[in-house]
Amino acid sequence: MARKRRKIPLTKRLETALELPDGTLCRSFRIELSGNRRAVIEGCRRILQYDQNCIRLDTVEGALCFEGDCLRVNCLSGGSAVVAGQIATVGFEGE
Amino acid sequence: MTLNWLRLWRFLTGYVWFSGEGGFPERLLTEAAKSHLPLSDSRREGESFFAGCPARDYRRLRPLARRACMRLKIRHKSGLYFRLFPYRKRIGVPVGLTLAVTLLVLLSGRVWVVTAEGNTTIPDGEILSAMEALGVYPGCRLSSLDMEWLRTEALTRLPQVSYLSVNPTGCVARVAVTERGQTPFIQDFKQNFSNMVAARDGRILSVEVYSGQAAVIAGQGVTKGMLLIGGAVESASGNTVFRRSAGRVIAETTREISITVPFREQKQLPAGDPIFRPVFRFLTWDIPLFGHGALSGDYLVTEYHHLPHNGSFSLPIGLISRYYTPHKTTVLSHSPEAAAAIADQRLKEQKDALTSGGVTFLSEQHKTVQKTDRGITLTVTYLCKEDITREIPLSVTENS
Repeated sequence: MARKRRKIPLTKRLETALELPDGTLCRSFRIELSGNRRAVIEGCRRILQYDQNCIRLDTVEGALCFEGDCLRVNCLSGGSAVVAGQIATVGFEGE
Repeated sequence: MTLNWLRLWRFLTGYVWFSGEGGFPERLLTEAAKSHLPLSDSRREGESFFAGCPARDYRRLRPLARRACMRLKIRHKSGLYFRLFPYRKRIGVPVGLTLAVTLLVLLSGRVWVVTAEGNTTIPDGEILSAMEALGVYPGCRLSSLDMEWLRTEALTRLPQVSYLSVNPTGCVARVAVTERGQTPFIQDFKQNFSNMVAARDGRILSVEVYSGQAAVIAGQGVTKGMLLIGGAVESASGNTVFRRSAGRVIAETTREISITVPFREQKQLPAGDPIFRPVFRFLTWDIPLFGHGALSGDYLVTEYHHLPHNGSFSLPIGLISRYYTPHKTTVLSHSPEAAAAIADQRLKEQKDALTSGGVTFLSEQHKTVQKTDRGITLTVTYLCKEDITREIPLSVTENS
């Protein structure tokens, strides 16, 4: 049985072909980490799970999971979220 | 926005900190973000959820919370609106604030306080009254003051001042003065010829002649009016030269002080309760805060100032309490013992007055207390030491 290939969106393929920065033509998410205390995520759609030890965010490219202690969402607006606390691991879960 | 600006913005607009129980906090956060309701500082503690939002957005958050199956509860409210909310029915607060701001704006260009600085011998009142006559008084406009003109005019009005300047500091006009150094007095002995005669009887203890010729020596007894220092001095050539005599002749004298205290005497004494008449002082104006008519009769006025004070001067705005105590002529009856005590007190007062005038009391020679039907008379004779000189002009007639 032939394995089904994952379809790459046209805009993404164009971006790659034209060597444009990520997020120019298609929506993508971006994480900016300040040590292990703070993470700014752009391209966040919603919060999937929220507790002190785990915060899961739904992004345009799948789920993003933060694990650690005393985690909290400082701000969530306009597709951006700020996660603060003691971040131990950052995990990606594909679509 | 920096943190301080954010705090200020939150304070001005009002901010609400709330907690949510049960349900799905992640859903509430997502829905709030979609509805453009910014929730800040959200955190999870066990099953509870905490966050903050602007006060005006909290009502919009409730339907979202219901959809997320959560029950919201306000934990803390902060901001100007919540601070002022308890006073919303107190009309005095906004009226007072408006009045204060109006006063501040109207009076910021005027002098509130005038103070004198740098004076040691000239009283403050003299300087301030001179400045008031020149237009520097509480309530005058700061911009209308012509400093150069003030300096020139004030120096002519205050001859004992060598330098004066008016320095406005905020609403305080500080009048800085430098007093003129006192030049020593030079006595002109060649004018106003005079003799020194004895002012009272006594025995001379010492003679100091500054000008003229001594007519007495120590140990000599003198009577009142006797020449002590003569203004006519014989020169070496045998001519008579006239001078103004000066000197000190200390003599041992006898002084008799007699005090009479009647058993019944009339005195002005407080009668009745004081009448309270407060006034509101605003700069130089006293606005009466009473509605009664004018007072007739004699009153003793006691004044208490309730003016804001900053340690160095008082502001000329505040309450002044005046108590008018009526005074009546009252007949006082003294017992013989009380009359004697009063006589002793009055004798002491007289002695103090004489001591301050240069008389030294050496000893008490004789004391009598005479009691009559009308009162008591205390007579005391003292041995004193004092300067008995009295200057009298010397009339000189030229014979042609």
